Amino acid sequence: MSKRILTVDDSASMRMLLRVSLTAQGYDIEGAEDGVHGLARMQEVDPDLLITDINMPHMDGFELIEAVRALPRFRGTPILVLSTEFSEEKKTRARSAGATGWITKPFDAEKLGAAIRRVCP
Amino acid sequence: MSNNELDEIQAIFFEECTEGLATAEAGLSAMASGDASQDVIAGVFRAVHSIKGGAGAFGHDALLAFSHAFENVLDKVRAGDIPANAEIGQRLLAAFDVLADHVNAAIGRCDMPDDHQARTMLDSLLEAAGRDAPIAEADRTAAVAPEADDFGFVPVVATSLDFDTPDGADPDAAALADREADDRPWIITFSPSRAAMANGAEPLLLIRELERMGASVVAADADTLPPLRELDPEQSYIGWTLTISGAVDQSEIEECFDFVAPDSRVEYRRNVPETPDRSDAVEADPAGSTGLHLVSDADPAARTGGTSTADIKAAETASQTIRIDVTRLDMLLNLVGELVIRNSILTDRLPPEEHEKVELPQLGRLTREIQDNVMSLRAQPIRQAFSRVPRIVRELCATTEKQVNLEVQGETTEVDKSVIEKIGEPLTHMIRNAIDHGLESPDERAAAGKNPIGTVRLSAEQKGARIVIRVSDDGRGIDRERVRQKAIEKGIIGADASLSDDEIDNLICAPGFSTAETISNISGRGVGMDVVRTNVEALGGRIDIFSTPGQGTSFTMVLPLTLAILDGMIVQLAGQRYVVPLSHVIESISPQPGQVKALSPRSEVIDLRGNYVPVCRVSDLFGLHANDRRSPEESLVIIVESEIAGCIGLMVDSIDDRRELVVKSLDQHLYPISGLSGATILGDGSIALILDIDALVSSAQAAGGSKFTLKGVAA
Repeated sequence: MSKRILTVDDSASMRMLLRVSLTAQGYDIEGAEDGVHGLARMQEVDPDLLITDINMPHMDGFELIEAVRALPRFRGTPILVLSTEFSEEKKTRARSAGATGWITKPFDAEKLGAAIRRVCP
Repeated sequence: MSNNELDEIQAIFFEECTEGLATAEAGLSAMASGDASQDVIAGVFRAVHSIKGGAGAFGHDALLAFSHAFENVLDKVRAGDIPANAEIGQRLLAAFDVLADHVNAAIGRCDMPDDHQARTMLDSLLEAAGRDAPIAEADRTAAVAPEADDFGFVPVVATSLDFDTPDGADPDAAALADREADDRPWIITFSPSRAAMANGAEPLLLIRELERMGASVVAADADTLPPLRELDPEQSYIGWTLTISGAVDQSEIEECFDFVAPDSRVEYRRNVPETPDRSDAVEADPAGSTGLHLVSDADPAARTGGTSTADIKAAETASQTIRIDVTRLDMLLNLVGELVIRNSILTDRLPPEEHEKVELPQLGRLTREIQDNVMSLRAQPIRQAFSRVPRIVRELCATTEKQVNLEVQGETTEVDKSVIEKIGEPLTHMIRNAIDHGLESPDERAAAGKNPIGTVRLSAEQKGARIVIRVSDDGRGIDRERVRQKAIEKGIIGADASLSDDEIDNLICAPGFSTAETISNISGRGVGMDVVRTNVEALGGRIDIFSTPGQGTSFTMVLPLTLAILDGMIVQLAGQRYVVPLSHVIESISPQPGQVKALSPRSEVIDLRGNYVPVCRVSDLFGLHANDRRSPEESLVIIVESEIAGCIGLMVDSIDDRRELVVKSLDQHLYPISGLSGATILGDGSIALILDIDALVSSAQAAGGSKFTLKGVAA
């Protein structure tokens, strides 16, 4: 069975881009438009991997990661941040919130795939 | 990914850009007027940030570089390092205009803008806020946007950047120096942090990936593995030593450890090292617990603190949206129109006593509800059309050196999408007109005892089934003498024509009229107010001009809220049926003898509780009843009101019914017929023409000479 990935990004075009790139690599992709919806979808979809943006309305990526990690069933679920930001400060914040890794936008589909394989069995 | 898919996604990105620009502009305008909340600033930041993200993904490098520079400044504003005051707001609005141009250039609507000045301004703002090298930073993303990036990677040796650096982690300078030519095998030691697994990092996956690259595990370090009873299965206790061919590039290995490097202990060495002192490694990094430390550090309450139930609820109620092609909505709307017609047909054909039996009233209600819902799908706040106005005003201020304060009201008024699409151009022209022709220069204004800063008001409000959009200025007003002279020169009116003030004002909209002495490069672009009038009329609307010398001019556009369905009163005229839009109807009267008085053979008025209102015999207008002119007592008079021209009474033979009607437009060659706005299909399948009340009232008023308003009747 193919792996399920939940992508959370407030930009519809970014979600579609992820969907198209990752579906081609054999993943099942679900999407959500902000942290709040992401948290709800997380529990419905129970994905193998969460990929989230940082800057989003309502609930940002840091808050989403913290909220997801606070749920016992997702303690070991890999979470990748996909953001245009790359400052050390933001990365540290993401890490302490519970992120597994950080990918900088714009992404290269192949390298994204490699990064996913490193965290998602 | 196929090009088609990419194009499709890019089209969505461009839509997002347009929405993002509107958000950013609204937010920056708020800042420029000195009242931007933290939320608003965050919204602007997000909007620009998203544009940047997409620009990178779709390879719009210039847009990427500019939005990045812009975002850096906004980030500082958001953090409070740059004040969110009016002055900064003004400057950022200027940068916003360049950003909008960049977006348009990316879409292909215009050439690449020259952003040099704006970039310099943004960079200087950043520098003032204490950023070291803003340009270098911007260039970094623009030129070498990192892809699958590190998690704060330090070459050769990576450990936690935030915690004590273990002493075993000193960079091997020699190895660094000769790594180019070196093909000695790599020795990698890797001890994941204890908390790595809780954060979703699975060391096994890394090892598998390294194995794929040809690595083999030569030793496992289980020294810190506790007795089973104390073992927490969610923590990682084991470290590994691996070897891999020296031919493998260091960067490939680094990439593997990207995500775990900061928290875990990773070392690579060339050559056969002295046996790494594993226990040292673990002790030096207090229990290898950096990750664990972080987790336990985070107060569980603080973790979820940012996401209170209230927050979640608020966001849940935020609309979940889907995008639908407008043509599909139009199709739905057409079908609903047909449904409305079928419903009328049933109502007409079935005897009234049967209606209840077949639940016709219920069907009618349902039809109406479906119709309302479909209409509301097409409704959009007029803000979309208004959003481009601030920029036009800013640009005009710059070119005309006038100072303008723009006041916008009623931008949440919802109108049909088709209306929004089509009023953009007339609106732009009216705004240009108001600033270029209407407002005086600051000096002139001061000399006239006015505030040197002129005011332009833009407002929208819904009145019944119509929307009233007004552009008014407090400028010099229309110079009627000059307009008159000009109209005579251009041959629009005769030299001896005697015209009312209103008529002179409306000459501005006459074809081929342009008042500016020298055609300015702003308003005078070959399109005059006549084009505006034509556009507005094509929308089924009217435009009216009201001017007071020395005090200003106001242009009022009255447009139908929707172009598709209306409530109509069906009337009889010489055996034919016509429709009077119900939104115009005030009352209907069966005249008493003497209530309708003839002023001349062609001109009558009705006495309406002391008010005299001109009466229009619609049948005369359309050449009906040629041999059989009815007396007022045999007729009915419907008092109708027009937003623009006041009230008149329409004399008709009888009133048939009140109905929901689907408006069908008239063929192009029927447009010149004044007094008709469209046609509809009635329940029995016959066609009825819809009366254009605004036009009828205007022509009746023109004949009567001045406006009649119903004081004490309508109000």
